[in-house]
Formats: sequence, structure tokens, C-alpha cells
Amino acid sequence: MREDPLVSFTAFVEAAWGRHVRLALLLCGDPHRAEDLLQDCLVALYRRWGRMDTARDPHAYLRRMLVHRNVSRWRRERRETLTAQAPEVADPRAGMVEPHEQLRRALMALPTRQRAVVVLRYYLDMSERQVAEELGCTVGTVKTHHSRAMTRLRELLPDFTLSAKEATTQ
Amino acid sequence: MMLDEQRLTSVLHELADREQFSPPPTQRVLDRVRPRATAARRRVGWSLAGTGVLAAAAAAALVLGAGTAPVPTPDRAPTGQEILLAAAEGAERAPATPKRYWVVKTTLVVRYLVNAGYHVTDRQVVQEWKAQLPRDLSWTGSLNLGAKPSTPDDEAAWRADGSPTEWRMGPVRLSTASESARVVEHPTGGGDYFGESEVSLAEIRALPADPEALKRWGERRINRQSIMPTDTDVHFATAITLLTSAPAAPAVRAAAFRLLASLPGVRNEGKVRDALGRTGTRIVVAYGDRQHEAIVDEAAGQILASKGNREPRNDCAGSDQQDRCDGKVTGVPDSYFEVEYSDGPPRPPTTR
Repeated sequence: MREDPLVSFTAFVEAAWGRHVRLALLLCGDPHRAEDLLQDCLVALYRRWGRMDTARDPHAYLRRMLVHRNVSRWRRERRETLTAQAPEVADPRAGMVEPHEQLRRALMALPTRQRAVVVLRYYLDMSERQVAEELGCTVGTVKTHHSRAMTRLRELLPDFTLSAKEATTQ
Repeated sequence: MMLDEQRLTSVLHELADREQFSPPPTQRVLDRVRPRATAARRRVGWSLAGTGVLAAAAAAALVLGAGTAPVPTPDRAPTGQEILLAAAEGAERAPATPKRYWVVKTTLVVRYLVNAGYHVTDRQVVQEWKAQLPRDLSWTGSLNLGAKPSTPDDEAAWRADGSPTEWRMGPVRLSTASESARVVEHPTGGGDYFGESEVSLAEIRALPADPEALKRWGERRINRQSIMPTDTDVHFATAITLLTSAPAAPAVRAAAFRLLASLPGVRNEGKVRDALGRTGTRIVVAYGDRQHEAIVDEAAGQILASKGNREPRNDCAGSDQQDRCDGKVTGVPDSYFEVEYSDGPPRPPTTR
């Protein structure tokens, strides 16, 4: 007899929330948007739930959805609010701000795909090849995004940079 | 100068970990998927019947359109086949001009057996606005009317149980309270689900207007589940989905009625009034130990209601996992359909 897919899906939602909501925060830079994004992805994931290959890790699938939906939502919202103020992208160097807030602002100043590369590389500790698989692009594209993101972050986060000497001894 | 990657990693974790998030919004997610989950399964009971638990006594009492009064019929009643072939002609005559949305409104009536041993009936309206133009989004509206004890006897048992206003059964939460109606965007392409097989609008529009060809298509295309053990189950499901849910052309709808007429064990069970107050003809399709029911408006060429196969057994009897049995669906839902084209805009459903 077939189990109601809602039963296993409910268990998955409970497990997935804590596991992915922080990733969502880093991807979109705002806790409320992060919760909305994750909730939207879970709802969309249910469409596939009954037909998910059992060999496929639903957490990995959800993670990809988060990355992709965040990129496309950002594009859509940018179109809509292009003439409005650019919110939340205040100069990260302004005032005395704690490092994590500096970093949050700097991440928000990055294009979403570059931000995704940084988060996947440094928060989830993925290799360039894994990031490429995750984003559905080539390793070369990942390298490009990565290098542009790091250049920009270096400008925005002077406190996070190492001198050449420190870099070599590290 | 280069960026300190270790520092970047540690501050990323600090940024992620310091935020306090709300607990999993499980119920909200389930509320958002439930219209879809229900809609995908409602047509002939699909997997609901597969998990269904049904005491034989309850099966006898649970008749589609229960409480309806028979309408007098002429001397020789038409056969089931004659009704369905007349419905095919009705479907062919129906206007064919698509509008912006194909709107499928389904009133679902489901009986649950709760732990305390009585039945409650849950009523829900799901209204799908299937976009017929590529640029549009589809929408799904829902209106939960709340659950209440099914019969006066159930009501007495409910009072003895302390008149609870809520029943929680695994993922299903039933409440006596109704919820306000809403309608939400649904990123689908306006096609349909046949069982769990997604069929695009383009494929539905290209379907053959031939009963035998539709049977072959269903056999090939529908992902067979335990609830559909025979080809005839698949054929029935194909036709019912085409007639009650999919935006199929009039000629294809007519072919679906002819498909139904060709099934074994088709009977005319007489005129009935359904739960929405509409008059139609009850058709039963019975073969082997399987039985399906539908109410047909043959003049309009529409299916007004459907009910799937029943499985008269009670897996919970004597079970040491009584809590798992709480909330098992004791019959497949009675589904009442209203379908039409509309230019929209999508609105939350009403009980009219």
C-alpha cells in the first residue's frame, strides 16, 4: 500500500527548515525574505515530491531550488524596482559596524550569482566543480564569478584583507 | 592584498548563526500544498483510496449523493450506455471557444474516522484557474468549510468525546472552523495531472478524439498505482480526468464519454440530485470487485460528480498502532465539479 506523500513531506519540511534557512539568509541577505524564499521552495518542491527519484537527495534538490529561485526572484524584483531606491546596499564601510554586518552589506552589494558562488564556496565549503554543478554552469564561469566577487569584496571589506606577507605565511 | 578566506568563512558562519528564525512553518506550507495535493488526487480517489480504510458497514452507508431523492423516470429507463452516448452528443454541442482561464471548481466531501470512533465529514472547495495563455500564471483558490460530525449518531459520540473542535492526525489537521477563502499563484502551465503524471496543455490539446486511442494513451501515459490495478481502472481514470479537469476540446470530451460507454458493467442507477442541488443521472461502472460512480448531466455533456473505487476493509481494527489509524480516510472523497472557461480575474472561491 502506498503511503500518503504528505506524511513523508511533512517530516521533510520539519527537517529541512533548520537545515536550510541559514543558507537562505546568506543567499538573500534578509531573514524575512529568507523565510519566504524557503517556504516558496518547499511548496514548489511538493510538486515533485511524489515523483522524486528515491536515490535523489531532496535536501540537495531543495538547496538548488533556493539558489536558482533567489537568482530569478532577484532579477524580477530588480526589474520592478529599478527606478526605486536601491535598498539595503548601504556603503558597508560607513560607520562603526560589526564584521558580520559589514559582510552582510557587502554580500548584498554583489550580483546574486556572484553572491551564490561566495556562499557555496565559503559557507558550504564546496569545490569549484561542485559549485559549477550546483549552479548548472561551467567551472570557468564559476572562476569568473568568484574572482569578480573577491575583487569587489576586497574593496568593500578592507578589514578582511591580508597583507601580502600575511597571505604568504598563512 | 588578498581577501582572508578563513576570516570570510568564519564571519559567514557568524552571520548565519546569530539570526533567530521562527520554528518550521509546517502547517503553512501544508496549507499551501494541500489544494494541489487534494486536487491531484481527487478525481477518482487515486491514492486516497489506496490508503483508505473502510468498514464494510460504512461502505454500505456511504453512497454518492447520499440523502438525495430519486426523480421519477419513464417506463423504460435508458441504459447506462445510452446515457453516456447522449452525454457525448451534449459535449459535442458545448461551446468551444477557449477563454483566458479554464476554471475547475471542485467541492470535496471527505469522511474521516477519528480515534474516538466516530466519523467527521470535512468539506473543502478547490478552484483551479488554469491559464490558457503562455504569458499567464495559473492560480489555485481554496475555501475550507470545516469538519463536523457526519451523522446524528456521530454527533452524539462527538459530544460524549467532549465536543473537540480540532482533530490532529499526522499531517492532516481538521477543525470545525471554516477558513476564509483565498487564491494564490500557481506556477504551472495550465495542463493537468493524470494521477501523478503531469500532462502539458499542448499534449491535452493534441489528444485524439477517439475512445480507443484515448484508452491506449492512458495506458501509456498514466503512471499506474496500486489504486488502478486493471486497464479498466486506467481507462475510467483517463476519461474522468479529461471530463472533470483537463481543458480538452469538445470532440475529445465526447470521445471520453464514448470511452466510458464502452467500459464493462455500466449501469444507469436513475436520476439523483447532487450535494450542490443539481439533477443528474447516477452511472455505476462495476466489474470484478471494482466499482466507480459518477453523476452525469447528459444534456450539458458534463460530469457533475465522481467517486472512485472503494476498498471495504478496516486495517485499524485490532491494530496496536491505533494513533496511525486516526484520520484515515474512510472513503474516497465525493467530488462535485463545476467547469467553465472564464476571462478572470481569478478570485477566491465562494459557496455561491
